[in-house]
Amino acid sequence: MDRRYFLRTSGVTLASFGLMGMAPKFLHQFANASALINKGADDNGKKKILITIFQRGAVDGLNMVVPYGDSQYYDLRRTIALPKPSANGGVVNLDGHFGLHPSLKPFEKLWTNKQLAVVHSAGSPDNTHSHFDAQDYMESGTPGNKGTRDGWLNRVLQTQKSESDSPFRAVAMTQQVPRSLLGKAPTIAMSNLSDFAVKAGAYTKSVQGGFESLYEDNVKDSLGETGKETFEAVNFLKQANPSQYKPENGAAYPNSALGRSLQQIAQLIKANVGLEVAFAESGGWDTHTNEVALNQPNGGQLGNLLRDWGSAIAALATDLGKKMDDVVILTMSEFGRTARENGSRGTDHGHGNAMFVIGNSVKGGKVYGDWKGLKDDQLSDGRDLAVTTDFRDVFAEISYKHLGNKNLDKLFPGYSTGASKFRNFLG
Amino acid sequence: MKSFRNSAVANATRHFLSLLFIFVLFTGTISTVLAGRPISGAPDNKGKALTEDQKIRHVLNRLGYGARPGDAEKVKAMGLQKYIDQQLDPAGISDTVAENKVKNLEVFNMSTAEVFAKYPNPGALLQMLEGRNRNQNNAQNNARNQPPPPAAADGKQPEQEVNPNVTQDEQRKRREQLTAIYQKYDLRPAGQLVPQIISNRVLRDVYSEKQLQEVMVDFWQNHFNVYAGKAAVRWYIPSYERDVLRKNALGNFKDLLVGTAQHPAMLFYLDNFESINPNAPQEGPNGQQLERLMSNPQVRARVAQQRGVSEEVLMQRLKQQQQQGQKRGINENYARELMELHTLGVDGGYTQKDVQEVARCFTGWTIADPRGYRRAAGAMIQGNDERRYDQLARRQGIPEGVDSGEFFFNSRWHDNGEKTVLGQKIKGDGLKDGLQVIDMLVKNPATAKFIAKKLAVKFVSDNPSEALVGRVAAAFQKSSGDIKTTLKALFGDPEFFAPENYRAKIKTPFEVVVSSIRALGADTTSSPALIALINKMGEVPYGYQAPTGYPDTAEDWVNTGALLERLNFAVALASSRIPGTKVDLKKFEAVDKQKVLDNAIATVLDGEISASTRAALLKQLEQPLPEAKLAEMGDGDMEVPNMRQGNEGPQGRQARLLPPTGNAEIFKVVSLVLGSPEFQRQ
Repeated sequence: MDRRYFLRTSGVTLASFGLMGMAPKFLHQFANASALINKGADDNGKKKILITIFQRGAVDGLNMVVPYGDSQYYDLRRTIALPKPSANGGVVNLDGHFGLHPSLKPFEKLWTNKQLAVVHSAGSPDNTHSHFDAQDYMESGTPGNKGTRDGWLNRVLQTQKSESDSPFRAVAMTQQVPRSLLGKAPTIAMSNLSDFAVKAGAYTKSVQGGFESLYEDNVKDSLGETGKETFEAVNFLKQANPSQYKPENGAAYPNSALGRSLQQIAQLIKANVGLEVAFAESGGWDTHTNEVALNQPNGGQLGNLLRDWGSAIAALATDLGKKMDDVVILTMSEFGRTARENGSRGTDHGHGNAMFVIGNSVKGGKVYGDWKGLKDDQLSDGRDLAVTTDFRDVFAEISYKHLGNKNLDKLFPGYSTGASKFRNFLG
Repeated sequence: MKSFRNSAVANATRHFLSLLFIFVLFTGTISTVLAGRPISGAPDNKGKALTEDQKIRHVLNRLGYGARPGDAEKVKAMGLQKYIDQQLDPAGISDTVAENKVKNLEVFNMSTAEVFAKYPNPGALLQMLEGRNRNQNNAQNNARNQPPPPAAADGKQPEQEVNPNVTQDEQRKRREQLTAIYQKYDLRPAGQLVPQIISNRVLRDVYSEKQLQEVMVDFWQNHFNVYAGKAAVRWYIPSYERDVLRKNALGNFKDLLVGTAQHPAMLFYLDNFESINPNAPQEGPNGQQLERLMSNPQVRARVAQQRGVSEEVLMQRLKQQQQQGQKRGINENYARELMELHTLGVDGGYTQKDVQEVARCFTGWTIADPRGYRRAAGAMIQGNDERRYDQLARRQGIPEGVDSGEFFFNSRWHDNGEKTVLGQKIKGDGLKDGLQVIDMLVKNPATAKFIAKKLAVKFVSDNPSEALVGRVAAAFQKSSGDIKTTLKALFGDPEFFAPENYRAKIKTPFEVVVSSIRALGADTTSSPALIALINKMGEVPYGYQAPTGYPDTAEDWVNTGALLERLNFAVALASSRIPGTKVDLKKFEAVDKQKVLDNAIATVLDGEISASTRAALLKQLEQPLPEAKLAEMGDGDMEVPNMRQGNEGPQGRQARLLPPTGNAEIFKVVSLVLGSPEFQRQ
């Protein structure tokens, strides 16, 4: 354990916020030293970061990454199919067979720059159509087994000892710790960075000072240790006032819950607080009705959600710029939706789905996975997109190649994954 | 055609949940869990045997949720052993204060069927409303009546969704109709279930004289965990806690096991209610019969009209439904957790084959009307409902006299073949197969050891000695799982009062909340704001999704974010910022600051404080507080927890902390003492 980790990095961080002048004195003395230390760390391989984004409610992968080259697609979806690229309001062409939902236009640049890959027809070997169970299985990383105590992301942290002891190794921009991050490794869940503070109004400074001195003198056990770290973290975040944050490279986050979540994740990454795993989520993807508006392909429930979702993620990638060398963004949803549209211009609970992997280390510009097709006998149970890539193989490839965590048997107990199952969307 | 009905419900729910202003949802803002780092022992009492006063404090902390002002004196007057004996026999304790506090939480005075009727599953009402409007207004409503697959009926439809096909006019009309129904039948919103469930726990834990019983309710609730956020589980919790957990908290372990195995809360949470012998005969018309029926154009047209869909869509639906229906079979979830978490423990010597065989034994242990739709929409609204329910009941083999939301054994779903569990043959004998498994598990020495260890961790220390566990396990085994006898052995063991175990357990967040309220002698109504704070701290009852229940050791709870929430709770409580929870700071008043501090230390920590903490506190007293108007506190917004994990992004009802009141000098001192490392221990 490195007790001084936090102080060290905070100096750099404040400098990166342009806030050094506002920093408390005790941070100044570490600033120079930490800049040196940090430089060394940069040379010896930077900390890799994974950002996962969960689409709760089961996004319709077939209308998110559209197989417009499959004629069955238009047969199965007479009123909610998205037009071919050439048509007005058509999909954004990817590779002559697949296209992005028109609301995902902001992803086009990432695709062209080969920073964005798609894994299609991915999903769970368990065929449950219950949101609850499918989310539980995906987040625990153990489809079919509900007894798993921890989430797969927490196991990633547990099995990879960090040199630092940053309280910000894992941050979920959610109100409660998500199932993916439940477990022994410390996790912070917060819907807003400003919540991470002692709250005593006008007396905050005085009360916090009181608590600090109480825990300062109790260093002989973990409670005292934790107390000291807590105040270091609080003091640091107080300086990193989110309202002062200016996204870089012209990135424009949408003013939405997800936009705010991702912007604050970018802020933590740039602040170099020791973040390794970040989690964000968005809801409302359960498009049983009016998934696509009549005569307006980018309208309807799905188009509206994807516009926000896509622009938030694109803004994150733009904002992080060169830092995307060390970051992978992974999107997921508990299952896909029926290949056929239902009678309400929507789709029902299905199976296989599409996942996005974004980052500078991604071999992007390609749709990965085996595509079986949409004919009756190619569909799972004659109704759902078949699963040809187990979602755990996607998780595993990122853990292994990006995070350098090779304990795959511990990450995905009871499942054998490895290089032979990887889709190789990472180099 | 049960799933048709459910589907229609889900469909209707999607359309109108946005109108259900009545939902009271819960959400929190920061919550944090779980850290791993070794925790060292208790401060300042190395090797010295506990004094009598310390023993009393220890018992009040471990057998209960800490002392209220005056409790230690009462126990001293009564005699410690007598107090322990009394706690082990709660039937003899009068508990009028607590009972009065919870008497208005009416769901605990109702059967599950009554809860379903009074707090209807919103889907059920909307289904009824859809049906009525469809009949009146069929032609216009065409597009809306598409039943989604049954999985959508589990109560996790998006609530913000507004169907653009429903005009504003129609929405207004629905809203009025719903309001009228709630008024006419005096119904309550389902969103009030979870607040009542949590308040019942908070109020009993704060006020009950039966402290050990309530501690054991918490213990068993986590041991036999169910999650309120899963579908219909919340409707079952009042009965689950009252009829199984509290009733048997100090009774016999086997009764708890049978009680949980047969309770719909557990059957639903771990899916056993859907566990069916794959070779069981189909209920209702099978595929061929249905096809034949639907090949009649008149029948097809009529059914399509009834459902408000086109014939093409109807046939597509039927096909999907058939496919869903065919996928029934054995579900092993309960069987696995029964052995891994409830009895033998993960290293208890069972195999995957045993899990499969146990699952076969429990096939057919199911629930009548599992989502309570029939009860909710009820005969009061549709005259033919009884008839429909009877049809359903007949088809499912529900025996007469079994009400909505009750356990029943469906012999047609049961796999009555021979099984082998843990090397022992079980001859197929219906319901008795599962009971025989439970009997075997209770008698298995691995169970005794597993339960003994868990109790020792709960009551003694995070790392109890093997010898202690062995002695407690022997008491469990010898008494055939009598919990009172087992606890008696535990509390009578020399290790229980060993100095190294004094104040050695770190309180869980829920224990911090309850013990803080008790220590200050505060008065609480358990308001939404208090519940929101508990949620932020990460331990709201029935809020743990995985079947393990909340963890109970320090390494799980001591970490940065969690500690911050404890400190913020201390401040909010001491400055009376929590609506519905009043703290009287008068008892701390004194002529000088040092005396205020002494009062706080005496009240909250029984005068026990490390020299360093005391010195730090004294130094704080000398710091002047800034001049500030108490009302200037702009940081009181919190979200009330929403225990739904479904499709939603962040959303939820807001709760707000009050401006602080009271003397700032005093509440600062009291906050610091409540937030001190000493008070985090028990």
